Amino acid sequence: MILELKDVHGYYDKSHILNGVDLAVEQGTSVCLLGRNGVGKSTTMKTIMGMLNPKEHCKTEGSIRFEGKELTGMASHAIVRLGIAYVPQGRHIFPTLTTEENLRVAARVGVDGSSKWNLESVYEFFPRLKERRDSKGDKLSGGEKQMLAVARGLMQNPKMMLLDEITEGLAPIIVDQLAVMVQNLLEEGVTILIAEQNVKFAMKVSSDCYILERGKTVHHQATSQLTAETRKKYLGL
Amino acid sequence: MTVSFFFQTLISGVSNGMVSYLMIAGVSLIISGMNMVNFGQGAFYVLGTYLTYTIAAKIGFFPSLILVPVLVALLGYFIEKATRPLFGKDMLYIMLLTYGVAYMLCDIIVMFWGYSIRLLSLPSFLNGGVKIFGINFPVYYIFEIVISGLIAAAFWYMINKTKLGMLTRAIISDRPMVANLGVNVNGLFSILFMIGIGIAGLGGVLNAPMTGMSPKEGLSVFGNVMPILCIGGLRNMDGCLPAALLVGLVNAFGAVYLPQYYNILPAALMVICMFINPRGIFTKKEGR
Repeated sequence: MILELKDVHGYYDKSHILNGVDLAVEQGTSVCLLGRNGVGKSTTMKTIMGMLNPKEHCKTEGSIRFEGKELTGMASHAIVRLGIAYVPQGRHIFPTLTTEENLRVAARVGVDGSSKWNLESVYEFFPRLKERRDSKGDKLSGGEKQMLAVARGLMQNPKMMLLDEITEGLAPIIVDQLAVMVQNLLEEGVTILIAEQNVKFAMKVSSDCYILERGKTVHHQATSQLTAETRKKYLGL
Repeated sequence: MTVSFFFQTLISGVSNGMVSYLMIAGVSLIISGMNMVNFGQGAFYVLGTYLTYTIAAKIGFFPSLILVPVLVALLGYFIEKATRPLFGKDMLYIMLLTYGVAYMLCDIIVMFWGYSIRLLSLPSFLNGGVKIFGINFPVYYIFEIVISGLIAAAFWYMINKTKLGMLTRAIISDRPMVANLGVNVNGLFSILFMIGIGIAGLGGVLNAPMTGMSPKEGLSVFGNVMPILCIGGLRNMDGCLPAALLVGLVNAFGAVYLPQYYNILPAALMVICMFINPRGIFTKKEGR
């Protein structure tokens, strides 16, 4: 297992947001976190990235291991340097930087010394971004911003990517493009953890899924075997 | 006013403006990148001046131009580390803390150098005047303009063309995301603070042969350049240079034409500019 969470609890101020999250991601696969709005999918992502920083009245308990290394208590930037790229919900593109600057600012040689992903290969993967290279971040469309957010993650030459709600607010045609993109990334050997509301998208791009309810893992199954009944029970779909 | 007097006033205004720019560029960098108003900047500037008195006497003026800013920046490194527990809290706390640091620095300067006001004597070829188009200009003014101009160009290049500059602009809008790119934000803060303080120290070196300063001016000198910061825009790093030149020229020509109002001119200009656009008259008005 490249990433393994065991009984993870997360607190923000006095609220207990994660209530025992378990999940495991195998190298080279794509795993999806499902659940209704507010069950703790994004918080799980943030917790993995070390963003529930104790200094800001947050606390994390339990075990999060990446390639066997315990992540709890580590600073965000140190976690990134182990080879995890995070594409946050809401994209968080730097508005005053151009597309190209948004990419260059993220450039990093991979842990294995690889720099397979660089401006050139990223532009080849996302031709649209090359056309928009000199536009400021806040001038991009939602779809372009999302591509840029993923591309920025790739520039870090990661072993694993965390994609948080990347389909949010995007037109169906763009969502289809993103699905193709995720499949291509898998072929490139990147391990992927996705948090999604869009179950159809999740079923297209992931082999395994975990369902959260009130901050706790309540169901785990191969995505292809996710029955209509299960979806109705946990996701209301 | 004769033509030559006009140009002499102009050059004097530009050179004063450029030296003020050196102090304000650092303040602006620290406000923009770190969200920290550093009232201590003036004290670092005066420290630069006093270090130059001692160091230039031993190793000469030109080596001091490099050594003093480095020493001042190193001190800044430790001070920035010490202020870190207040980061992320109300900005007022850190403002008051830097004011306290400025006070302490001024007293430390008194401890080492005493109260006497000194003036550094210049290397001979920086003394005297040079004739350009038949008009006599002090060589040192030209020297100040050249050195500060080089720094301004380097600063612009750093902000707009280097990864450090991109990170600085990125951190202004989204600090957590910068950490999520694997950047050690605290380390970045240290670098920005050292650069900001170091340029102020260089301003202090350039000032050493010009005006005799008392150690206590470490507190007031920041107030004197405050108008530049407000006119250029608190968070507009590109506004510093034009604002510094504007205030330098207003000071120089004000001293000639309106000597009785000389002291209030920059402040009055600041008030007017803040009514026009509180984010700085060189800042675009529409959202960023």
